[in-house]
Amino acid sequence: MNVLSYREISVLLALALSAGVPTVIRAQTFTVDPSATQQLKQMTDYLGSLKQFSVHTQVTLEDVTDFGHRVDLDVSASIIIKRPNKLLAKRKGDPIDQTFFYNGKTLTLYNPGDKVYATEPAPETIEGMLDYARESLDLIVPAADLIYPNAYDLLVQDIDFAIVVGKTVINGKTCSHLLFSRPGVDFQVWVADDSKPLPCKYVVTDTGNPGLLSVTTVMSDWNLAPVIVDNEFTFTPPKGTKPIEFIRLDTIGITTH
Amino acid sequence: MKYIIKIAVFIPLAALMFIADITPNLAPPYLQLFPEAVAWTDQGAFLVSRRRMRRRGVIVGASVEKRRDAQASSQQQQQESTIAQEQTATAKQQAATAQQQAATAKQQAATAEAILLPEGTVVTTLPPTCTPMQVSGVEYQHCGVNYYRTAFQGNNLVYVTTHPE
Repeated sequence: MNVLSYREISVLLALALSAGVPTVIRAQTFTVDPSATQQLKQMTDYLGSLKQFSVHTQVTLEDVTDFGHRVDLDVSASIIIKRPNKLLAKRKGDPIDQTFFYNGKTLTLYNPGDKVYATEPAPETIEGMLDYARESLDLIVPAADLIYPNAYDLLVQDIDFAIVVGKTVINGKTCSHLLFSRPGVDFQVWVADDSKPLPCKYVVTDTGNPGLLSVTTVMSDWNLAPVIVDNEFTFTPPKGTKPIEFIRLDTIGITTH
Repeated sequence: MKYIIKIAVFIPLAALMFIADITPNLAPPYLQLFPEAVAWTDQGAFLVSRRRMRRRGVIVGASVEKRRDAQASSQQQQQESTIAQEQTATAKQQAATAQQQAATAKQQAATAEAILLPEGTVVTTLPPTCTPMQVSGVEYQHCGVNYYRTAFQGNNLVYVTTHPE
């Protein structure tokens, strides 16, 4: 009895099953435009070559409330970096009001509002410190993705899509708009279209999440010759500020002494 | 005849499509031939909650979490139904939500104060009635039966239960 051919059955089954599939339209194209990766590399190389700089970042974290409403959280940060081993990041905003100090010997996280700080011995380079902060202390340092000397390799790892979207103007500067994709993450980088290819904006989107939520960082006020006083990277606790500890990722809980 | 059988096959399939689409929970088990779809949704939800937990630093010891969940769930349902009813009265709704959240928080706090938590339990907010105290130069918060130390968990400020010596 050849009432329905296998082909017809499979079509019907496919139809039936597809009803339950969430419709996420993500083209499976594997295009990597060398012009996009090249512009990204110019930016990361240029940033890596800078001995010192300061920059202002405006970060927007997209989130969804428990009732399904979209809510955005904003954090403003000013960052000073002096290679190879000094970093200062002051963050102010809704989820966090915090200053991060690194002077080549120790790192300190300071919450002025709570009057507490924690200091830990740290590796002697910015890159080593960033790895240590992330892996052992679960700390996120602003704009860390772009600070690494091998930022390019880290960014383009596993990318299966890269294009130049076009050019636009951000904070009065013409910037080239690049889009990259790799499994689970899309990221967009806007690179200043002049002799100093600095990043203008950076958007990371979690594509593993149906809401496609992003973290957006807009950079402004680049200063490649900031006035730097070395001791500003070392934390001096104001009166009444109390030392606390980090919960390390490599131990369970805190041991009391 | 062939035509009738085709229809006979197609209509139930179409009905299944409908069921699967509209009421995923009521869909018969054999329709859950879609591990990807299920995994995808779960993964999504997981990422959202994990991300949110990280951001707000809401990482609570498993034992506390369960207890709180049980208590909060009835409250939560009430909250949700209240909100569904009062969608037009935004101000009212917000007030109700805030009140209920406060009530939930209070309830949770009361639980946290009365029950001795395992050492190393991490909470993001202290119970409402705590007394700061120093033991061998280290500051603790004494709240009900528990002692907490302040700590950074990543970038978040948290409180960890401990037994001062």
